[in-house]
Amino acid sequence: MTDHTGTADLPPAIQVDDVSFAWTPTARVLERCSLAVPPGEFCMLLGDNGSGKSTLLKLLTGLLDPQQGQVSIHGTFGYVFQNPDHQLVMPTVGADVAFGLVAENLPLPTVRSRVSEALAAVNLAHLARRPIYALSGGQKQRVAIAGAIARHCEVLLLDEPTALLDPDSQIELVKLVQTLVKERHLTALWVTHRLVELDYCDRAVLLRGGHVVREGEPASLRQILAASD
Amino acid sequence: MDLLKTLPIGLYLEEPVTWLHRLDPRVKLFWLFSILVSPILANASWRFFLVGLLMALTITALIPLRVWRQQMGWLLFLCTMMLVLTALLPDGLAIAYQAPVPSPTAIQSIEPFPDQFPPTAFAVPPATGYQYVVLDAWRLTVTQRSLELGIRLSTLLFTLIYGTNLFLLTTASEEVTVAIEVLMRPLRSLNVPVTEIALTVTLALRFIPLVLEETQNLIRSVQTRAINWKKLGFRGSAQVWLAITERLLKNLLLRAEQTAAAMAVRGFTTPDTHRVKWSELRLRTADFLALVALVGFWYARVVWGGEGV
Repeated sequence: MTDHTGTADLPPAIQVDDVSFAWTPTARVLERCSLAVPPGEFCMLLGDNGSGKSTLLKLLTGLLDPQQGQVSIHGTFGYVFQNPDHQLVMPTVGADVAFGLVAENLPLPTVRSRVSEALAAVNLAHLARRPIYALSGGQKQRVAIAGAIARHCEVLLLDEPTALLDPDSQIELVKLVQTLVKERHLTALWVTHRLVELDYCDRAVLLRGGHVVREGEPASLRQILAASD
Repeated sequence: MDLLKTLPIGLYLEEPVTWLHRLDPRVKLFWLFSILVSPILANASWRFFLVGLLMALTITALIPLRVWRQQMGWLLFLCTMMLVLTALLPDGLAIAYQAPVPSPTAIQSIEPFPDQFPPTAFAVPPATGYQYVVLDAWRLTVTQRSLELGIRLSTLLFTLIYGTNLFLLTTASEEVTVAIEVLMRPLRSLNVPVTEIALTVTLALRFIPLVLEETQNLIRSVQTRAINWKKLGFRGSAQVWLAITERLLKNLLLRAEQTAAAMAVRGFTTPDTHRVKWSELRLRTADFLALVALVGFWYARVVWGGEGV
């Protein structure tokens, strides 16, 4: 594995060890799946429909429990859903970004500065007062990412965040996450179907039949996948 | 989303930030409550004053013309129609209109005139300008009662809808719930889960656009299937709409489940402690002025606005 960040000695930020999961005894989604993402890496997870990508992310976030094996994330994490309407729970942008800060019990000025900083990082500082329903799909995804950044998360998990976006917004979002990973030393695991997005990540992993079948440089994986299509 | 963006009421105007936006939401809530309550047992002048006050607030706040033309236009039309129709339609008393006392000639013609009364005992006071029938032309009759009823209904409708709308237009949803939470704080001593209620209201306000979006998606799905409603008949149509309603409920439950999962992942604590800090509640000079003005408002209501004045 190529070390892009000089953090080869540190433990992985995301670790999946020999994990299996099945919705029913006959429908196994993950089968002895293992994966490690080092700190500071922007990793993309590819795979066909039903290959277990979203299930793996749900296991990492604790929404599901693995039936075998272990998952771990070092540091706080933020999760970005495929459809941002599922995760933006407050009526306006600023309040939604502040939603995740309640547990830290911060004073209001600190909350406001954290929200402003997070919105500035996703280029939405001017929309803090805007109602969520008045945002475009791309803006909603950025607000979702801002919610994670405001919590000073170290790991970003993104479940096909560009699935509902047009090509321009798609590239804009992937570039934004690439910048955030570099500037804030985040670790990102991005689930996608779109090969064009591989140009922006550090490493790509292919999931098939419930486990990792190939991983490596994005360019080489892209060539292999393009050839197999 | 089309349906939501074209709704003429209940929208929040984020830009421009007017002086109404800057007022503390608690003060605005007190004003809204006063505007909604003061028409009770008020005279017509007070009701018209409220309509004028709401218009004046809109104009002085420099709310863009495009916004209030869209919102106030249809409401003014509706209220005017209500005033005209109620005034012209029968007033419901179902009596033949007649003068309240006998005419002087009729009294003089009483034979024999009772001796125990002096001749001036039945003197009729000089006539005033009052007439029960305000207008009687062709087949149109407007009476004092129908006119008063028309004024009451139309001004009340305008005050209720536009007052609430102006409040929502200049107050973000979470500010409304924070203000309600603060004002309900004394109920905590009675073990009322105030924070949970405020959070539930906030989440419900966010959920409304999702309901509208789901509804719109289902309506579009029906439209694209080119269903021949005439051929289906009443029973067939009812079955289709029942299936759609069932689908809507399922989708909404699914959305609620996904939202709950998102909340869990995003650091939700517990319903009675998860108080999102974002809106700043601070009384400034303008708020104190608004509260003083509110005292003046109620003084005017009691002194000049009561019925029978």
